[in-house]
Amino acid sequence: MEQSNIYAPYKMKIEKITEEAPLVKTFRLKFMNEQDAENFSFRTGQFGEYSIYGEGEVTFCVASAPTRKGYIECTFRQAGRVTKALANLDEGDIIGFRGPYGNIFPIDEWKGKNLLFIAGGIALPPMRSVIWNCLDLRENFKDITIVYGARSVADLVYKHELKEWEDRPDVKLVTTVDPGGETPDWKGKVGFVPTVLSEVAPSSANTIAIVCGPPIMIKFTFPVLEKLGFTDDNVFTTLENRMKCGFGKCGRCNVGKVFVCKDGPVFTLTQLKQLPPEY
Amino acid sequence: MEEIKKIARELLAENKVQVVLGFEKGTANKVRPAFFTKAEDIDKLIYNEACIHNIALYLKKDTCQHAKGVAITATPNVVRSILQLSAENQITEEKIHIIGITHEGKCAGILDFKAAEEFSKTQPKGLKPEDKALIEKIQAMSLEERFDYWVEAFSPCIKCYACRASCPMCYCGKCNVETNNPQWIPVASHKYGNVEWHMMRAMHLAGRCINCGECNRSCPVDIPLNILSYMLSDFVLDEFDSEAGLNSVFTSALSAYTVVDKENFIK
Amino acid sequence: MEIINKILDKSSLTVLVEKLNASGKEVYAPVNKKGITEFEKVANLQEMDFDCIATKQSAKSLVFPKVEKLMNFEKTFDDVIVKNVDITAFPEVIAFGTRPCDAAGFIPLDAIFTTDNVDEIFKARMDKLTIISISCKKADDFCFCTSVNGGPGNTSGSDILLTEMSPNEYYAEIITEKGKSILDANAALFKDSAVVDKTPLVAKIEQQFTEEVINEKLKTLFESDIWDTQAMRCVGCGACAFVCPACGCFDIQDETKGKDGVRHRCWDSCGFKLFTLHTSGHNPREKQAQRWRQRIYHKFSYQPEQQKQFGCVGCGRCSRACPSDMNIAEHLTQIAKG
Repeated sequence: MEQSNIYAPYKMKIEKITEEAPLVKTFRLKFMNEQDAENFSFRTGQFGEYSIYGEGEVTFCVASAPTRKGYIECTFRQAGRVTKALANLDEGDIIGFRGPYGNIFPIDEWKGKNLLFIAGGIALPPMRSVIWNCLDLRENFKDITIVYGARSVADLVYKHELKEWEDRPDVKLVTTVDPGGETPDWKGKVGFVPTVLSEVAPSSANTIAIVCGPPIMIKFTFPVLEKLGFTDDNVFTTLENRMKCGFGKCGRCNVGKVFVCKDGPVFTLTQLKQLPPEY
Repeated sequence: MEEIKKIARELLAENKVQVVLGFEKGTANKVRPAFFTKAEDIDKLIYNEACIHNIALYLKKDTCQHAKGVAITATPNVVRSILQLSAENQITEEKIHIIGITHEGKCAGILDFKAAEEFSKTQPKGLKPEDKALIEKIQAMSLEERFDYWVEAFSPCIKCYACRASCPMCYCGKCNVETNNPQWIPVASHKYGNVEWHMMRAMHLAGRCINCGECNRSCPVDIPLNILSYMLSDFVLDEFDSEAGLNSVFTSALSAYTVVDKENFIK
Repeated sequence: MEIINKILDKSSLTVLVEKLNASGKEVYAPVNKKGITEFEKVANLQEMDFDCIATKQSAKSLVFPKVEKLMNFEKTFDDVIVKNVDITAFPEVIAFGTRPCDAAGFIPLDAIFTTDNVDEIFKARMDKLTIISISCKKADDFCFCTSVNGGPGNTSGSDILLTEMSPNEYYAEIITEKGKSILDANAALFKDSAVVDKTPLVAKIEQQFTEEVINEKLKTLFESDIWDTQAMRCVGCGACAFVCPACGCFDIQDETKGKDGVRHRCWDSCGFKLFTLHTSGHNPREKQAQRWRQRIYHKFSYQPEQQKQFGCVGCGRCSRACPSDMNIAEHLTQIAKG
């Protein structure tokens, strides 16, 4: 008899690998078992544990949109043991995935509102899921603005999709690179994300802001949003902490009484302000 | 004891040090390491034969690192650790005021590093009779028996790393057991995970361990790690004529070369 | 179920342990080996150390071993075959001679592993565990069960609780269905009894604080410097967490040998720096004081809120095992009075 085991991953085949930036890759993964594929569903904001058998597991968000069926994608930068091993894999190789875990971006509640996405560096992947999700349901939302920055032009991820968003009349895309990170033919802005955001200065009226980025970017972005008139309830972000289990048992990802894996990773600024600064 | 307190009080009162590292009364009949920052608190400072913790450990922790001057009540083992830490460039003499305590529990006054070296060389190194007996028992074993002995001895290890955490010489910011790229030592505390961990640690301490026995004292499952370290120190002394904890300048057997080295290990 | 009161002679107790063994169950009891008493597999009662106040380690490893296999896997040329652990093969285990605090420790542990989503491996071990505890006749300076809703004759968590009435007689409280099944299978060994007042039979342990007061105080203490003061002598090892009956935090680790591999769950501790360290080098709990604070908050603030269950049973093991005499009861008393 087949026993269930909450630690057992789905078996996934790497269908496609995209080189996004130096050390950054995107994997498109397909379920090897059709029944798994049929049973599986997730919502934007959720994450999973990706594993290489023999190396271990690593936590990423699902970077593709739930509206794109039949596969999931993850984007990662080589850093630790598992991501380095992942980076050495080829198309056709097998990895494990378990999930989805965590809460979601409440996009149903955002109907009829303007959306402002603010992302930095390798934090675009969690945002990309919700961006595509919203673009695939474009009629539900009013203006969509994306402010995305990276250290240098090379470090911008999803370059082909940035182009696609730039060309779309129903999206306003602002890209920026840190001073010194520009190339001679760079046409975007030069400056840090919070600064560029205050220049672009989108209206906070009827607008939801979604912020993903390194802690330092987030820290300086919140005051800008506040100055623009965003209320804490209308600002969303995702937290990342070291995780092992993904479902509130292994004990390490908690910020105060909440587990990032179970109660997060999506939090409003209101919720964030009630938590101790342990992230 | 009063002399130790007097020195400690003066050092704090004159602001020569901001922290006095010593002992206070602990739970029931236990004693515990304590940090004194005010002269009036020195009343609580104690020293007795139960104060065997190697408090040189704390010299590398935040409280002492942030102080301009630190005094430490130092038994011979603590003095040896201080000298070894100095030899390994982990602490500097200007900052540390050693209040020496002899193996008989008498105050030896404030020792500068030169005096500390002398102190360290002249204070007897004690080995408990039961430790001596165990060493003799192990030495009488064949290599295979020894290996089996240690595999069995390590088996109750739960990898709480109390041995490492309470060892003044285990000051690495990132322990080898925590590197995972590649994973040198298995994290799991199963049979070979335990053997590899303790072997690795023993090798990294060979010639550096001053044989204070903290590893064994702090081990919740009572693994005789001090014996392992002692036997290695003995070997290093024999082969390299080098002993840790006697000099405040670099003398590490495993990373220094001298022409009189026996080089038996190369053969 | 309603508690069934019985009496067991010491000789019947000896027979009971032998019969449990004979029925194929694995019996674990405190055994003194080279001066340290731990739970070990026993064949009979003679091996047991009845005198021990608390074993060095808790009994948690019976359901949450220090290394637990989560799955095996085998790599082939173009596939990976994953093999689940056969949880039906886990043995029936009796924890015998546990103290009431040991037994109580399984409650928060069970809450961690089975709330919201069920850890099947843990649950299978827990389902096959029967706990026969013995009330405490004596306590030491580290015991503080009465401060955390426990007591030396407390029944919670136990399936059967034995209390020594005289050197030859035990009062047996049959508390759960699991306990009753042992009673039913060995009915001849048990004599009927009225309810016995255990108070004169068990140790007196003074209450030092209440969990409710701690919980209340913690609401405003997060930013206090008390954590720095208390954690100053903490060496940052994991001894406290590993000997704790209620600590359930773990790590997941893979190991391979050739094409075969195994994924393990291993004990982990919030006292370790590595526990929360991000790959980027950022650490949400950078200082030992923050990690000490997490330990106290988890047990006395977060767990009560998440699971309606405190994460401490007052066994005092952490304090006994601590190389630098961090005494949790003393620190909690300080918090309660502060």
